[in-house]
Amino acid sequence: MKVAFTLYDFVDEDSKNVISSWRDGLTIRSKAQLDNKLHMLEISGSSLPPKLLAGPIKKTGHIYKLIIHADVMLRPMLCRGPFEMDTEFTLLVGAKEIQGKLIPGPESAVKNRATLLADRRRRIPHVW
Amino acid sequence: MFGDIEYALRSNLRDREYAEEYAASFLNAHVATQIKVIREQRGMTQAGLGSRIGTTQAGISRYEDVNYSSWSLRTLMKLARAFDVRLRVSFEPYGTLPDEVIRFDRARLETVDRESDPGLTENRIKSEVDSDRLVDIGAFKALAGIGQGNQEDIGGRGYGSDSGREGESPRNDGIGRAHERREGSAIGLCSAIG
Repeated sequence: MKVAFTLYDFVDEDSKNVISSWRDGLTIRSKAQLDNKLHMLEISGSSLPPKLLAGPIKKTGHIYKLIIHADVMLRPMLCRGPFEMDTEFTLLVGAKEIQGKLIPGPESAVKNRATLLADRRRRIPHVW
Repeated sequence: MFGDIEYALRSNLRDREYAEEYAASFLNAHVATQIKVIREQRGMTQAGLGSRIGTTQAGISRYEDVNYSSWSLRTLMKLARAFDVRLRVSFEPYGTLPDEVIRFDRARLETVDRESDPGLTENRIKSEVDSDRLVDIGAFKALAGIGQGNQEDIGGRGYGSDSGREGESPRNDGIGRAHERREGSAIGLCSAIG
């Protein structure tokens, strides 16, 4: 059996997985919530589980946030594709929402997506 | 790959804190998604479903959210009634969770109403009733000693026994089987969150 979608993680210029590094700093409870939402995304995409993703975020065009109510409001940002739009998601940056504000802001996800579009090697399959 | 998810999840679920949080997250997402899937399957709008259970469109929208976590059994039973299905709640070991996660899809979440329920068709009911009657007749005959030559004969080939272990009381065998079958049906009618 195959999953419906493939998840990828953005890697920085030193080939470091930015999503794994971000996840490593979360509490166990937050990791469990994050993993569950990502499993659902990979297994069934974003159309089946209601309100799994929010977006696209204003003025970004292509950036969505994964909604997770954990110890803190986790909001990792991602995009569809950006190469195979119907079968892939790429996690671009880990983030939290504090008082309605994304930290880091969505511009970091926009920048990472543009970097990836210019260089396909700047992502690797998501590590479970 | 499912294998990657399953392997990592089974490993992580050994941690109690992780397991509790993951299971709660999956439960909330599962219930929210199934409400949406069955509502769509029935061709209902959120407002239509809301009016059936005494809430608003916004109320249903709140339930159809993978992060909603304030479920009450009372609300879930109202939803079950509106969908014309039963509600099942059961306690499960964590080891069953990975299978449920990797089998999470629309087809498995859809649920037929009573009108289309294959378990309630006329033929199905007739065959179940007939097989129960055979057991009941066997138990009655064993009790009354009708048509039985001796104890061994009843245990091995009597009416009420379809497995008939040697040396076992035919009375207990016949009655026990009929009783177990009814008990099984009753358990099936209990409530639970799937």
